[in-house]
Amino acid sequence: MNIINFLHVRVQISTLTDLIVTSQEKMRDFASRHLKDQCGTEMAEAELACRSCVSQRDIQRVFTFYKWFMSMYKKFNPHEEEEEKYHRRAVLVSLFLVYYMRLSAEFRKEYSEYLNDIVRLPGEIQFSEAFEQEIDYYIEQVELPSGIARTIALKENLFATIICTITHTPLIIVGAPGSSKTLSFNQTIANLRGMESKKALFRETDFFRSLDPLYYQCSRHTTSNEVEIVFSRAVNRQRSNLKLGQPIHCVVFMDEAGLPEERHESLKVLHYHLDKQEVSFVAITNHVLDAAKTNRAVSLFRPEASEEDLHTLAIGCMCMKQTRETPEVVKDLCSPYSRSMNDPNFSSFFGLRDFIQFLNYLRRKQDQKIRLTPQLVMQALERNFNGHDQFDNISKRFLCAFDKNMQPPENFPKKRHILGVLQESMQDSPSSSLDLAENEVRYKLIIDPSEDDSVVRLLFSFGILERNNTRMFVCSDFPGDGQLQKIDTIAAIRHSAMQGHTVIMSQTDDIHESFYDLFNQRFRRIDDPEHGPRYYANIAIGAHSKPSRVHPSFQCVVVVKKSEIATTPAPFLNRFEKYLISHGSLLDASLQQLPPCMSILIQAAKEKV
Amino acid sequence: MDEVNTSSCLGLFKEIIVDKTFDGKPIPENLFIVAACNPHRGNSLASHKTAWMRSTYYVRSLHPTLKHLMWDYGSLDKNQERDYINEKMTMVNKEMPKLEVSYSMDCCAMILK
Repeated sequence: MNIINFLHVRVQISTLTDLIVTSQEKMRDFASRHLKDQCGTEMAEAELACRSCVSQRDIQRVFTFYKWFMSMYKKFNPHEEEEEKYHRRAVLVSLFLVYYMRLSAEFRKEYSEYLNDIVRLPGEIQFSEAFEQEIDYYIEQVELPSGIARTIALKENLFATIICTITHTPLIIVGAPGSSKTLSFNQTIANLRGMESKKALFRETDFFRSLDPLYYQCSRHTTSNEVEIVFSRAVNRQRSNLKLGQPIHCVVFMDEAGLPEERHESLKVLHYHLDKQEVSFVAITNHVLDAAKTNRAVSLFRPEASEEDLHTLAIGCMCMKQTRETPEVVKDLCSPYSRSMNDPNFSSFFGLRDFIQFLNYLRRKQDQKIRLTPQLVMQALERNFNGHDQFDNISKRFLCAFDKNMQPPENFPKKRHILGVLQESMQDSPSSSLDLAENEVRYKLIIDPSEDDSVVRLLFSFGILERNNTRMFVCSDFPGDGQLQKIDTIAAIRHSAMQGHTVIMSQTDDIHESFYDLFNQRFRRIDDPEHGPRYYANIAIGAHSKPSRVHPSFQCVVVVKKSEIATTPAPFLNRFEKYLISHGSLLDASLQQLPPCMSILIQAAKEKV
Repeated sequence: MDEVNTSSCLGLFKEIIVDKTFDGKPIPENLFIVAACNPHRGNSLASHKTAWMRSTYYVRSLHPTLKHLMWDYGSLDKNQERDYINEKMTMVNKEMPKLEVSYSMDCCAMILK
């Protein structure tokens, strides 16, 4: 009976070769369907184009991972099973890394179901089980700071980063801003420290070398020269590590690799280094890179956060100490966010970071024993989803989801004045008991609808900023004030960050990209026995990116013209609390401060005009 | 010469390959030039915002003269790919002798159990 059942089992795949051949064909099929359905390509063109979706390099990568996993299982036997089972597991996990991770959500499901079906053998592990168990094994070994939710996104990012950096396989992580891409890289570096690693597994330096990162912040002005400099430095360091017999892998980390404009071809120089694989490489981008680069690396595609991930994130942010209000309420706040992300108006301005900070604000207020009411939700929205013309629509959506009985506009909570919100934000300093590395209060972005930069002066006269406490930085675009002026400004801002000043930056669009890591506020914490904890962020000048100390009381206000918002990259906007301050809103504030008789007078005057 | 169509000086490459001169000076007879490039695919394959793959290469269109000399190298077809994988499998097998390459062996083992 068993044998008959067994013979009915579809064992079409008899060798590892077949699995790889099938995966290659499946990927081409998915690519051609994607091109036809999503991009509207003609069938003949799509068929031709999809052939190059996967190539010999992918086959090579499967074997590289396979060999590494087999030797790792032989040494550690992480899943406590017999040796015969290693081969199957290693094969399935390698296929996961090379093929599955690259696909979008719908194709992932199809690929996973297909593999589960054809390699089904009674009592043997399935494809989806194999990679889930493997990911969970590594996540257990990684130590994460509290407050970071273990979403599927984070887990996959961490797993891919660890395996690819250890095997010198280039990795490109493609995803929307705020999907824990940079965070996972920083956590990988913090955990894989060779003999100084906290967990025993990562102290096995034959397999898990220590990682030495070289950061490069890409910008729209990136040149191939800068990229070449970073790689040369990495290669030289790696060669000297090898000579000295030190178990260290150099990793080149390129943040925002999607920003360099393709017409400048500045990333062309990558092709040579990605082929040579002398150093590890991790790139983070918001949209997929061109076919030549994708071909030379493992891609991890992060789709827009799923409902499940949002829930995990929300519960992780809100329920840190497990004594919070009902998680149901928290889940109710996720659906207006994910619905809003389908609106292109919203998704080009806001992102996951805004949502996470919104939840963090609610949690902080609850820690101060303030109850979760519609008024509190409105305050959180004013701090984190502001700056947009459609703010009223956004707030209506959130509040109606939060309180199903809400009937706008009667019992809708009142909006505070924008200056009041900004004032509260400026005075909100991170509480000393919490680790600054957990990023409590964001920096501010003031959107100025005027073209003459007058809002800066008005911020001073309305008391939002104090003249003698604030350092002002302005860049000029006069032809004579070139590179040197920019470098001076960057150095001065860096100094202010170290000293903890309040800084206002205006017309500094060209140098914003040097501070992406600083604005992200995911600082690296180093505990100094004498001076206490110190926080570091990378500040970049051209090809050189240096970790700089950031004082906890550093506060930054960036002023951007409303006309330039359309061309400002979304990952930049996401990092800030945004406020739209116009002359109209400031005039209203002044009028409100006048005694009633004056406002009647002004009203009468307005009517006469 | 690799990735010739990514450069901004295609005219120079045309001169080297077709005219066999470099900046007017003739290239020696014993020098054989081979050039490689990725195909130029037009904007009809421009990607969606949520695309997980892109089939375009960032290259310029080739010079008309060079287009005449262009030979489509193509890519491995299904059978050639299988042979390639088999070869690699054999090489990996040499490095890890205890490798089990066949699921049918798993099946036989199951049947025998």
